[in-house]
Amino acid sequence: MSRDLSPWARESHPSARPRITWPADMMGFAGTLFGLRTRRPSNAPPRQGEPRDRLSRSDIRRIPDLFNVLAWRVDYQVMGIDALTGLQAPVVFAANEQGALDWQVLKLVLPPRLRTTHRHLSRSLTQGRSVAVFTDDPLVPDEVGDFTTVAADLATQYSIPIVPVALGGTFKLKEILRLALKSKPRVWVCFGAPIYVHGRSLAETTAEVQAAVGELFRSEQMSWWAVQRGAAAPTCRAESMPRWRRLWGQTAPRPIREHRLWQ
Amino acid sequence: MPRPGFVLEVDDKTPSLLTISGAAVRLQGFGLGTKVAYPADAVPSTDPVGLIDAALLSPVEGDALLRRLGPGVRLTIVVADNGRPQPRMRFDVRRTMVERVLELAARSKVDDVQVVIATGLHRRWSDHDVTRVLGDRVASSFLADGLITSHDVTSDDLVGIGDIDGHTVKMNARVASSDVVVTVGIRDDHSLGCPSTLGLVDASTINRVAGLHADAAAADEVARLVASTSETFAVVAVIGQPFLRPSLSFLNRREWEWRLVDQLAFAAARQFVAALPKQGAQKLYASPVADYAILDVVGGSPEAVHTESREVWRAANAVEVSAPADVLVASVWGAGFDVGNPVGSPINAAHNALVDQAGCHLGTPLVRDGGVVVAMHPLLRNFSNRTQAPSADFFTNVLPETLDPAEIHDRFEASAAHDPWYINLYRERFAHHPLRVFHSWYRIKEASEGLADVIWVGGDRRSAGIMGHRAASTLADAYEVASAVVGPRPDITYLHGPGRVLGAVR
Repeated sequence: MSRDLSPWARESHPSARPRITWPADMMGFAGTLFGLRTRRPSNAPPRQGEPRDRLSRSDIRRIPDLFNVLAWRVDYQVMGIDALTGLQAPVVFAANEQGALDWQVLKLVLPPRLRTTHRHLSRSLTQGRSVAVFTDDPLVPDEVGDFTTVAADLATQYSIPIVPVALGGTFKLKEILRLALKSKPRVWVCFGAPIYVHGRSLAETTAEVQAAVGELFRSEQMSWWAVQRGAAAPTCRAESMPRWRRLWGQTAPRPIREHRLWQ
Repeated sequence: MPRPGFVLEVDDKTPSLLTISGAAVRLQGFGLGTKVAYPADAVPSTDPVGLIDAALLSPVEGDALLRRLGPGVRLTIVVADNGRPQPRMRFDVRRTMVERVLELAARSKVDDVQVVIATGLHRRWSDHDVTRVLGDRVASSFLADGLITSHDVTSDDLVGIGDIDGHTVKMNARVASSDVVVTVGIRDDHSLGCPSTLGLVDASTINRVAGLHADAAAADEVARLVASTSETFAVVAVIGQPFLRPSLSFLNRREWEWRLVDQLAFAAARQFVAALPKQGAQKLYASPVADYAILDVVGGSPEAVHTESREVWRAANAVEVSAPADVLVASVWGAGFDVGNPVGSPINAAHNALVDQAGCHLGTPLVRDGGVVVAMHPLLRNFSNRTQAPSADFFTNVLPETLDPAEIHDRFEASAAHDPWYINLYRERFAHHPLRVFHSWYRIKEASEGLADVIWVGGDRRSAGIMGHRAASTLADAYEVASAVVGPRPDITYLHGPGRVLGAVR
């Protein structure tokens, strides 16, 4: 060392002994009646209300809702839930119609702050509650039915995003749950990237929602970027099939994969 | 819009005010007449997609991004990272910006897309960092195919793009060979220059423009050279002050507005830090995340975007101060500059106090020439073995030899910059580049040139001595020491943390 440091400039070793500070601090705050009686400095600006919070990753952690009976009766899988990060209720969920329990399945997998209703849509959005809009019944089985312009209309009116959702395995689920099965029926829910409606017509937005839900439904294996790129390409529709084949396909065992792109 | 910052003059109604020293918080009484500069209020963010879409569709200069894209275009998205903001963003707006750009690219049927992280001398991003910042969708779509890379300033495959005063400027090969480059960044200060430019060139060029003799003209020249290689569209989000989660909610509010929940959070934070062993407190407070309001998103040509975004940040964060102070007091919060270290290392603490806080002004310094800066930090030798090895060695071996930047540059810089171990840590172990600590020290010395003294309250005497500063046990002791220079009744300004104040001195 070529610089001469002062002889008293020694390294300090802070005491490792724990100190108790909490009682003294709280006694100090008791003088303000714990924030109820405070004096504002003369030139301090007035207080302001606080805006709402957005949905973070910790909010959408997949903890099953154990009070929901459906959670015990189906084996469900959620994909693409990260797409909900940063959203702020309310939003419109646009999902494909498959069976009578679609809404209950969607409600089961959504984080509490985004739980939806599918009645009194406009009033619910005004009150800050998210809503779910479903397609019509599909003309071709195992396909996505057509959306009306309701989702686009609501999103435009309230300036909120539309989240495309694909549901699988819910066809005839209500009837299946009545059977005495040894294994739980399997359902899956796949969320896509939110669609924003700025500057688009209702028809354009509806077409985009339709394409997004269709791609989600068909493309469990694809990455988001692949889905994005494929969205513009024409897709061939599945052949019509009898109902049993649809149920047969729905219950077919799937290969176990350790990693899923959408998770 | 959040409440703007303001200057409070301490009167008899003013309660004790929050001070932060490393990870420790306390309420400190200030003398009557002390001016306290509060930053603009911290508020949570809202969904930024509308702002981003508007910036992409209606740029401040040049064509909309969609018109620049098409089939066959070679597109590179450059994500600028200069190590800030800290605490890290709870909703990183860069993720949303990258996703919106990718959606436009997909709509335009662009096939050849890559993402490059422009980190410059800061630590390169691991796969975990990419996933955390850019989200699952981008990571799962691009990371597996190696289409997201973190720029390496020491890489052999950098390409020369021109000369400045005989010095060859090299830059990232992928970016140089792209047809369209979209740079995505964050504005959280009032600095000049473009972070993505210096994030993409070689170490030697960075050293030339931001080293001992930092040269703004040369930096502009490098920015022009980099921009000339391809068509560049910049999009920058201007962010507000950090809004902390409920366990640190007291940091978001002004002391006279604290309610029971804030008081409980304050008392709990103090108790945990005081009672738990270091590792325990570290677990609780090492890596806080904060939400940042998105004030604006600006898109267009890089020069216009940086000018415009700087103006927006200035408008949102400037606080008018009546005159330069004799004594400037600053809290130094470790989580505000060191990742994973709630206390913070001494050199970064000095940089935070003297450059980031005292140096954040519109031209007239916050402290007068010959004044004193009083900073609060324990200055413990608290360096990460992996990411801050060059800083630890600099503090232990270089500063005890000399404080003179020119001598340090001549004797120590070259050997550190080419040290194989440091370079290995930088390239493979996500450490900072060894030149970074040298540049930090040069800026610290520049900032403290006009000061009569820098005094650390509660700071380790040896660490303060090594940096050429002084230490005091309490704030009153620090005033006592300063009074020898500034007299017994100095004008005192306290920069209230943890947000950042842009001082507009009248």
